[in-house]
Amino acid sequence: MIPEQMRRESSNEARGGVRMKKVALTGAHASAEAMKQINPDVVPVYPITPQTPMMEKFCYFKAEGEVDTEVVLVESEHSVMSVAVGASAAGARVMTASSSQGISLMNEVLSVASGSRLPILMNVVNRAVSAPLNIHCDQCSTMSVRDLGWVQLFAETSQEAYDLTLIGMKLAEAMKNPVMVCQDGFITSHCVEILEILEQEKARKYVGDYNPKNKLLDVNNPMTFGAWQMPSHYMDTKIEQQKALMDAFKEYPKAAKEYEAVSKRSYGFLEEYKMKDAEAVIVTTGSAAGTTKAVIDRMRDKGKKVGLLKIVLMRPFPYNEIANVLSKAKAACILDRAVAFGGNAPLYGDVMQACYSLNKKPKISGSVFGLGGRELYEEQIEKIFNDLLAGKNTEEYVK
Amino acid sequence: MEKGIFEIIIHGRAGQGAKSMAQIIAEAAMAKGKYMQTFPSYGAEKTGAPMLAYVRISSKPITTHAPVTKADAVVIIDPTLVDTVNVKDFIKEKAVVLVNSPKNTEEIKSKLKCSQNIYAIDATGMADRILKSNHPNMPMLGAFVKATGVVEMQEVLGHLVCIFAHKMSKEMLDKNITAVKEGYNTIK
Repeated sequence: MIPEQMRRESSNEARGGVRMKKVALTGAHASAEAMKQINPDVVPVYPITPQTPMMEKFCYFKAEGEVDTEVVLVESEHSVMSVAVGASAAGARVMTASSSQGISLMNEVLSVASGSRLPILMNVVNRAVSAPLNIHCDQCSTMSVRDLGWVQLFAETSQEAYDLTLIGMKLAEAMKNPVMVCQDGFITSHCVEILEILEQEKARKYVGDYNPKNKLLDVNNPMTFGAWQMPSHYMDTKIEQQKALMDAFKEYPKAAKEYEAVSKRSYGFLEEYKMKDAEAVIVTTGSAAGTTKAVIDRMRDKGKKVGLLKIVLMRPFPYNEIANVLSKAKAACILDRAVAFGGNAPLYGDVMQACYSLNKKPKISGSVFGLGGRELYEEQIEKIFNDLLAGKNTEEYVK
Repeated sequence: MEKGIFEIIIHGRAGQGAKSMAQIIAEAAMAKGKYMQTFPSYGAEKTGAPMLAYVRISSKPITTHAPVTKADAVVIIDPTLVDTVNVKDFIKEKAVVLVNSPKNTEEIKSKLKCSQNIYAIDATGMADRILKSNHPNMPMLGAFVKATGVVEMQEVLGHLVCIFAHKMSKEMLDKNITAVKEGYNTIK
């Protein structure tokens, strides 16, 4: 009576000569699928909402024998990142995931990972930080660790969460630097959407084998990891680290281009949506970009010249590219799903700096929205665009 | 479908299967080549707390991540939520409203203070009888299929099997299918 062939992961479609499987997955499960396809050597885990379904799914893949990863269950996120650092230094390919308080707890080890140039990939599901206790989405915790030397990529959809996990892994290993792939808690992580995934062999071939040059377990070439450095050397190491992180500007386009060849989907530092003649622009990141696109489509139908600049690469920050895009706009509103207490909101501050050198600057205002899962409605975005078009400042908080 | 998009709000209590119901509807639409999106909205993250599930079905790609504010269909899975959910603020003009209640449709209409396509279904009674559990989502799913016509029974049952096959016995799965079909048949 019920057709056996009615599988949830059903249709194989040919697209531009590329065989692609269409599936319905949440953002969290899409990332877990990418992790399964990568089949990392070591994955230390500790549960935290809203990341939990991602690792739950990955552990299911492990239990089903679909990956041969060493899954290490530890007692806290501090230990998660410590295991990740140890395993990565040993020469393993390492992935993990976390959120919010978990990111806070592993904070000190995040700098150890980046300072040791270990190519760990961590999927971050953006969630508010206590207090008050809140499990819902905002980007405060993710933004609070943006200066610790990790590459940060932000996904808008399940599709992007999947794609950027694959790209991020390749990028981390090409740069010898850890990468965070961030998606919005619940809004993306728990939203079922249609996406296309690569065939497993293609995904694995794209990421490739991992053969690190330097590894702790190479007994024929003993070397020091986690060195102590005196003032005579420490600063030079940090300067080298800063330069190395900037390699993302070279290596990310390479990884993205290779990915485009196998997937037909392209990724840049930024995504420009209807920006060609846009007078009023919203700059944002994550899931809010999608809602903004829906508003833009409607307003464009009425002849309003509005556009979106979405930040995909948050660290290192593409200052020049952003300034270049915004130089043509009349007014821009920077929409932050985060606050930086005592200062400008993270994205707003960065975009203002990017535009400082422009001779002809757009009128820039910043609005904070969506803290702790506060909904963002299309009407609120439309009001921001209308304010921008009327030459008005946007409101400090979208409530 | 108005403007090519059909939007659904499902009110339930965590644990009653609002999310599963939403996912089955969405994937049944996907099987017919539609674009879809479904996401839950939790309050407190605990069993029994009121929660929502949203579904969008469209002939065009869906980019918005905003909650649904005006629905084409509202489903109230838990009978007690009729007293707290202000349905008439969240529906489009010709919306279909399905309420799990042992009361008759006229009583529900006057309670909700709106006269749209409202149907009262005693889903808790049916679930109790067929499934011996508090899963009124199954009869409500069947009623939804018949009342809206936005997805088809064959796809719905197919995806129900996909989602539940590894979670329950064949016998329990068959009972769930029976519950969906009974819900379907209550809508005349």
